[in-house]
Amino acid sequence: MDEDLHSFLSATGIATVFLGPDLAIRSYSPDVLRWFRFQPHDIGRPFTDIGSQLDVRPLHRMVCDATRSSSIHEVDLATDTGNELVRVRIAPYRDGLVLTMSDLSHVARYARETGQALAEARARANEIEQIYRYSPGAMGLLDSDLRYLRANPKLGEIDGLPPEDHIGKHLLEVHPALGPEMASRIRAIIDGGDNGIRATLRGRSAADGDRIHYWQADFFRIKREDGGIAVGFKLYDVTQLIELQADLRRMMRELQHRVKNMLSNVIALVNRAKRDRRDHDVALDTLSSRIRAMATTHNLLTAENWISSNLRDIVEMELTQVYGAERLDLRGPETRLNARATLGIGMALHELATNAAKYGAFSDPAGRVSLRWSRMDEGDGEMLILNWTETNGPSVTAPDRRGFGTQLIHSMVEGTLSGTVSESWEPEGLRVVISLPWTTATEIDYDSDIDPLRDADPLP
Amino acid sequence: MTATSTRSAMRILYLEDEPIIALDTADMLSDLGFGDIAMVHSLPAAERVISAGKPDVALLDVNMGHGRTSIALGTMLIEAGIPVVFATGYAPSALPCDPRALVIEKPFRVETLDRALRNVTEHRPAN
Repeated sequence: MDEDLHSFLSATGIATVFLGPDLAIRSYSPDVLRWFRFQPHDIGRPFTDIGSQLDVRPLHRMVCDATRSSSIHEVDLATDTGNELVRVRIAPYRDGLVLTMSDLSHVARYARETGQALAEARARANEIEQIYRYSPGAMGLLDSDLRYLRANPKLGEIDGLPPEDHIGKHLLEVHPALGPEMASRIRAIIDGGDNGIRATLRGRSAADGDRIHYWQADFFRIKREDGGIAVGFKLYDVTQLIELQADLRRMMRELQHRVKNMLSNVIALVNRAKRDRRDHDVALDTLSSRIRAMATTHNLLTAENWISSNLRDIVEMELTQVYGAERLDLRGPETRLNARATLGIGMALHELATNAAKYGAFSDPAGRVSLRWSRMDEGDGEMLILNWTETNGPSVTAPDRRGFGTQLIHSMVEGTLSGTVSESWEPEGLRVVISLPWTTATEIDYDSDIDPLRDADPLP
Repeated sequence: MTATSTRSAMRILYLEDEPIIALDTADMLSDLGFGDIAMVHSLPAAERVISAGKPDVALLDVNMGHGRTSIALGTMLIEAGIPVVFATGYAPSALPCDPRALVIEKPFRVETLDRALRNVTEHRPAN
């Protein structure tokens, strides 16, 4: 080998090996030592005997092939660790071959890193794709001109468009109704520099057009690669929650109304007691028994959701439990009273019994009270008739003026239940006939205290 | 003429569907000097009273049950020149009552009732 050529090869840094016709090593440049364990005494030995950190089997095959042809061959060899890659070029040279080796390790590293980055990017893109596809919330992405870049199936359910048909369309074109409200928030992010805005939107959904839906909407700024701004949004259907909240507020108002009404009634009874000219103890006893009677009927109603009560239960609470079954004769069919009639009949029976305890049958151990109730139609439509008859008590006469109890009975029955009350003071005792239109007494009037704000906006 | 002597000649329409409250308030009205108290417990009864003879002033409970209110009746009375005081167990601001009427919240004190009735009757145009 020429001294000049050797110097030249050393200077270029190109790893080169010259082989003779029998593949014996003729000469090599120092750079070869990076990969091959050549020693000066290896000159003349067959190239295939020399150890290397590279996997040289493909090289050996190719070198054998190259000896039989005159074309140039190339083979890439990797180290066992895979960290280095060497490209070997095999060309005929004189009666043998010349092998030149170039280090492709950095290229291999770039390729590996690029492959990894690509796989990672694919995984990320896939994750985002899945998030969009399976998100329980509607999601969309808009460019700064409010044109769709992305939309998910849930959003499609709201506006009735397949997700892919959103792309490129303007927000207002896709959502004529919801759009303007959304657009004002999105503009605030694009123009105003807000990072995120939360709002409650209301509108109709194509998937369920009959009712008004409510969405909690989050709009957020997204910086695009080109430096521009996109706006992402997420709509989460909170209709059930909003309706539940409205129901709760309605119930709170209803409860507040009832409590206030009850207190108004109690105050009215206390005022009445203040006007009572009798002894204070008597007046206070009357007051407390009236409040208790009111509590009793409220208990009965509360037990049945404030809808109705059984007339027999009222009778048991107001009469049997206070005066004893042995002094009462109670008869009547199963009758369910509505809330208003429960309160009215409850108070009326309470006042009749209190009056009987003071002046009538319950004031004498031998005295008895019979209460019969029936459903009758004597030509004026169906009526609920209650017959209160006192016997064996002291003889009674009509009082010269109506007491508060009697006024209360008349107001309850005539004023609020459209019924009639007739009293007759018989020698054997007081008889009272109360008659009420059957429907007034029994038709469910659950909404009798209906909330005047029931149609109020469910949004607070 | 003092307020009381004016009131003794006045006919007041009083609508309240809660009998216990109605009886107590009727006592208050009597204490305040009203000589002619037409107490009714339902809207039809109120209409019967009005067609029998125009009252001079009206005190109306707003919530009449079954979702009905006396708001329209109140407006009708005001249109006919009859001053109106509404009473309600709800927050007064929550109800769309005629702004020419006064609204008092139940339960009310006799002083509140007195002041409200005085205010509406004294600002009434002379007939």
